[in-house]
Amino acid sequence: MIDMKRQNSWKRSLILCVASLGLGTGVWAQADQTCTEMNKVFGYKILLDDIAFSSGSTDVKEKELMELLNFELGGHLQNLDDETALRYHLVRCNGRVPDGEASFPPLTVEGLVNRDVVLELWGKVLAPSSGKHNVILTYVMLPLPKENISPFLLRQYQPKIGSTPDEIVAWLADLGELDAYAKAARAVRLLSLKGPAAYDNAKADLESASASLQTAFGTKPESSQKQLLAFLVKQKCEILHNARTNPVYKGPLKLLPDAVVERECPGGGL
Amino acid sequence: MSTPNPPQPLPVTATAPTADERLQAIEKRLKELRPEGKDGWDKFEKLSTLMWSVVTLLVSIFVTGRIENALKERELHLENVKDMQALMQQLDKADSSTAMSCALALGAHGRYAVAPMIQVLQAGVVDHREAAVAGLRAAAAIDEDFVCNRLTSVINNRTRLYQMEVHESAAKLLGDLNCQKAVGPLRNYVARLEQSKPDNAPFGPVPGSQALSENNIAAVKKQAQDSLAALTQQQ
Repeated sequence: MIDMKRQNSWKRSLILCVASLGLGTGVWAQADQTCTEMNKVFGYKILLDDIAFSSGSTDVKEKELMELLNFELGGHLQNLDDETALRYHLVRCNGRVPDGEASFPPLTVEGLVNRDVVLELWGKVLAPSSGKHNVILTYVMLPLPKENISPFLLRQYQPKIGSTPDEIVAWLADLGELDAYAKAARAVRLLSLKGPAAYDNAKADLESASASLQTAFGTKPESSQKQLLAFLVKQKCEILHNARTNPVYKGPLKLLPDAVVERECPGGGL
Repeated sequence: MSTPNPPQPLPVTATAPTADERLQAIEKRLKELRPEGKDGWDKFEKLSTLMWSVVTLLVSIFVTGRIENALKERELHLENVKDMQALMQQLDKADSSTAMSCALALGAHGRYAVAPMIQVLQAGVVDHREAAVAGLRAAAAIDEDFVCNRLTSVINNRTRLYQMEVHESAAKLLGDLNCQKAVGPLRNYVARLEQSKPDNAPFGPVPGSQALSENNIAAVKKQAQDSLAALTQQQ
């Protein structure tokens, strides 16, 4: 009889324990979805949401992998040769996985722009099939003007790397595209915020982004990729045109010879 | 010897009044003594006692009613706060869709939801802004005047108590909710923003941003102008 009571008491404690753990985990998981971290970091930001490693890894393992990716990517971005004021800061949004464009209503986009977020990305690593890894990443460049181009870009990769998750993390951390998308968005932001004063920096960003993305997209870019590349060229040509006509701007672009402008933007490029 | 004279009867004129006469005389005197009709003061004196009782009764009923109402309102407030507490805690950590449900449920508490919703906006969680605005709309469906007054006091505040997004949302909602009394304050607000620079604007920077920008001020001003245009067109 006493044994039964003791057993029941143990069971109750166990259930309570599991329930508390469950609730705690739920609260923990919920706690990060809002990504309040972005309110504590100043400067241009890249939001790194969850990337799901579905190759049989547990939640704990995934968390470790994301921490590793966060660390490596953060280090990579810190080493980029930018002015301090323009440097990106990586913000890890733990537990956040947007549901595509639906998760970005106008007020949310405006809020991200107000907080100097230039890029947000999330994705998943699919289980390898026929020896190849499939990585799907979604990028949101903010604030690319929606009427001209979609700020959302879905990319699928098949990296030729080893099979361990650590190798995938190392590959992701070294993905140059990420920097290119951030630069494209930052150029648009700089132009919107500073106008002619940002022509030089914005042009450099656009050129760098354009070169990286041309390499990344290869010889046969998809239509959304073509659109993005065309947008970058158009923005750069607008800068070149405005630099020569805007009396406020006094920088080096004003003195560019016609031949150079014509070469970079044939027919005005607009 | 002479015989004594017998007593002579009194002359008729000197006779005592008859009983009837005396009775009449008494009645006459009584009539004279009877007080004449009561004047206004007499009536007032009589009525005042009654009046005071009635007035005292009415005053006590009125005061008791007011006190009871105030107590009931306070109790209701406390009950609302208790009801809302759980929802607020849930909203604090929620993703955007859960936040929307919580905010709409909070908005159903009418005026009691206004301060928490403004606080949600002030906290500046990006995914909660849409929900807070929806919550304020829901509260206005119940208590429109109160919500309009509170939002007007947001745009009237010049102490940078609120961050830019709170002002922008308030300016937008004043138009959306057709707050006609806000026309004057909105007009003054637009005029104030036209003179504003990042260092003297009536609102603070968004959390996580480096500083308030000209673009921020322009965005709020545009919102206020749009609302003003909508409100004055309806007049």
